[in-house]
Amino acid sequence: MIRYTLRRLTGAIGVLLIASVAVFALLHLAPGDPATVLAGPDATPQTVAAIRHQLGLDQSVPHQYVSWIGQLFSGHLGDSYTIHQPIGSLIAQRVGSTLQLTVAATVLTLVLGVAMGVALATSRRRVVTQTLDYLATLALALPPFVSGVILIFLFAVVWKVLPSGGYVALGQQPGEALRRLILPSIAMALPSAPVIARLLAAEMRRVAQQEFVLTAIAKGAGRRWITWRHIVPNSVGPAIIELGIRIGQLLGGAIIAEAIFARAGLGSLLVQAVESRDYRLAQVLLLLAISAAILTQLVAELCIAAIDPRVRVGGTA
Amino acid sequence: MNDNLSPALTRRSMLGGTLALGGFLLVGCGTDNSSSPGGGNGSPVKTLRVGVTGDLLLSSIQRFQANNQMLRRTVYDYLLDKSDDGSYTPSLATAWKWSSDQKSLVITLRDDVKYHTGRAFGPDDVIASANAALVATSGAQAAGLLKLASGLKKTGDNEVTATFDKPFPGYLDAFAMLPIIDSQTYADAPSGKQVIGTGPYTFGSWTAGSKYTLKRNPSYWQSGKPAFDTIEVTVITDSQAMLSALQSGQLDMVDGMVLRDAATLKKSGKFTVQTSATYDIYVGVNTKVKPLDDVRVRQAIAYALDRDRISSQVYSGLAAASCVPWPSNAPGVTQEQVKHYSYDLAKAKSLLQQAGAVGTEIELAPIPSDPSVVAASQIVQYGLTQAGFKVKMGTYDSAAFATHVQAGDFPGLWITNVALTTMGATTALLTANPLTSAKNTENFVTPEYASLVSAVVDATTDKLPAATAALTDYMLEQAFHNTLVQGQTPVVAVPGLSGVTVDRTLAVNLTNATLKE
Repeated sequence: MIRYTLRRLTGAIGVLLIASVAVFALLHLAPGDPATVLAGPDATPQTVAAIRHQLGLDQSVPHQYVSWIGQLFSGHLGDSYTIHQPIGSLIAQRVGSTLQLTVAATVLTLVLGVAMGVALATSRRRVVTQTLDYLATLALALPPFVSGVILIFLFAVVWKVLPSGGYVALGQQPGEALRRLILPSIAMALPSAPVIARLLAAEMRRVAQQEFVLTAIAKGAGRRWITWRHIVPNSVGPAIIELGIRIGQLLGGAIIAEAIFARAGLGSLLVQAVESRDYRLAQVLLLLAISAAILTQLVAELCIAAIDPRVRVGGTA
Repeated sequence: MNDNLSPALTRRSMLGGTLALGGFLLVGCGTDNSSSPGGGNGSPVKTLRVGVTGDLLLSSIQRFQANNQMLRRTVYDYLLDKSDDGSYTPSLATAWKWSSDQKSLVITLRDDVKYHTGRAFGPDDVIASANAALVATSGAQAAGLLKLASGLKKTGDNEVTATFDKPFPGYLDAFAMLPIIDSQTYADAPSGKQVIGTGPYTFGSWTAGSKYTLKRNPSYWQSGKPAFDTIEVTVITDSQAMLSALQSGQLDMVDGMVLRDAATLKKSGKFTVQTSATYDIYVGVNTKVKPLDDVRVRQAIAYALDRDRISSQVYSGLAAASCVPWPSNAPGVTQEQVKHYSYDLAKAKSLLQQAGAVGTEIELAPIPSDPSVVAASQIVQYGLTQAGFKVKMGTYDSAAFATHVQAGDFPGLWITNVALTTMGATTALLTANPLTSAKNTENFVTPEYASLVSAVVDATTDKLPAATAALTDYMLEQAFHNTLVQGQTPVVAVPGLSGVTVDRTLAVNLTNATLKE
């Protein structure tokens, strides 16, 4: 297991280094730079050049990359070009909102996905499975920017029972923070939950035909016991892997949800950084997002390896 | 063997519990209106909740830029204000007097003004503010006017004097668009650590990209003002989210709402919509690119623009169709000029045929940050296609678009605005990138244009209308800068809010604002 973990960890660090080059290059290849934004639309070329020099953007791109990566290795994220505040403190201000949203959406995805998956796999009534199947298709087809607008319209504008958006720290006003989480987390979980549900249902149907399940039935075990004690634990593998990928996607989806629900999180900060060509801030945020995706994938793989010895020996699940 | 995993928690009790919890969260907590403690009995509200479309850009507070419009007249003051009729009214300056040869201007300042730090305001602060704008990295448009003075000196305890090599009556515009900063703390302003001015509100906290608060300045020089203890400003970049926040009662006022949304809310009768001085929304033409270097092709474009349709369908009447970049009531502007180009596809086709440019492919790029302009671009595209152009839509993000505006290297046509035209022709011609004569976004540089621009800039008040009229005629004939409509910045608010004004720099002034439930 240790060797397997080390192998995966080395691979993850390599991916991260390659990603840092790609992120840096892509941002610098895009037209415009922070000097353009800081100078304003009516600036003269002299003003833009003076700002560019002030920010060190007149140096060669490789020099800027080496300088930036060196700064990262020494533990300094630097200051934002446009906000003029330390990037670390900007992230600290925002990370709570994004984590709240991602955790809430993940929990909701898991709860809805497992509930629907089990119901799809175990229900004997055709009307139930068909209804669930239609609902899953509908949820899958609703991207957060559509479901978000519908939810806001109904719950915030028409019925006025929930706020249309905004962020309140959980530690300050827990009740209000939770109320502001409900709509965005539903919007984000809706397209993900059916995927988990269908994967789980398919795997449960396969596992239900396994000999150990038939043996349990033959021995007279109750249906619910067999489902939750034997079928579900042996069926969650693909769903866990998918959830790992989905968490990365949910983090990405936070960008859209934060815009629609006016939440100040890392996603909206990233959009702001990219739009203003705040290279330093955008680079750090993108690397952070990539690191989060790699980490969740790594944790999911390690979980599978811990559950299934065949994986850590060298095969795949 | 236990058949039930958790016998105490039945499906029925779980469902009931979930419904109860949901009901509590949805209904029991209710909508959070804690920041508006008016109570619905007509009593004044002490906290104003404002929505803005973009975050602060504190390193450029002296610049005429949408990001800082909530701050320029709340935390800061100007020396004077420019009225709609072009005259000036006192603010931090009490009086100003030109010498008979108009080569010297004496400005007298108030003696009872203090910065938020408690330090007294004086002539050195006016000079420091001007110098800050003139720094190479400032990008402040006022610098284009300030640099035309040969000197700016303290000539008394409450007096500064500007001197000029040749008369320049337009100089006062600089001080009607320049926030007076505190030189002692200005270095700390970009990060939000110390944002110090003399205005009615002090700068409170700032969560970048999210919100900022302003607090009442108890020592404001206008006694008894302002009314609010706190102004909470929330940054909402998504137009739909902004609309929802206002409709759901989370905001009292929105500055810079998309015009079509503002028009919808105005029609609903549930909100008030106040608009600013009009500014220029135009189709720019890169005259360096063939066949756009041919004046007949440019005139064909001008005839293919359905301005009335854009005004009514896109802006719902909150922007007036116009062919000239200046407000229609500007000195020297005639109604004939405002309506110079009608929507005339036959003329457009004929001109295009004469120029041998039928079927020419041209790119049309709308500014991406303004949904109204993006919508207007579809009508423009239709007209140009009907006239005989092959139109390719160009897509840029905000930073890339700004880069092309600065560099003047759009491959064809673009649509954006020149907000500086609110200050009048002189200031716009000296400071706005699309209109300056030595170099401009359209790359339209001719001796005639330079001469006509100089005539406007140098004109004394009595000669300004004729100079503006001559310049406008020339611009219409050359059709390198095709105005579509005169737009406005809307301030949408709940009905109880009064006293909000938007000055000619499009900055929101809340000094006299009050809100009653």
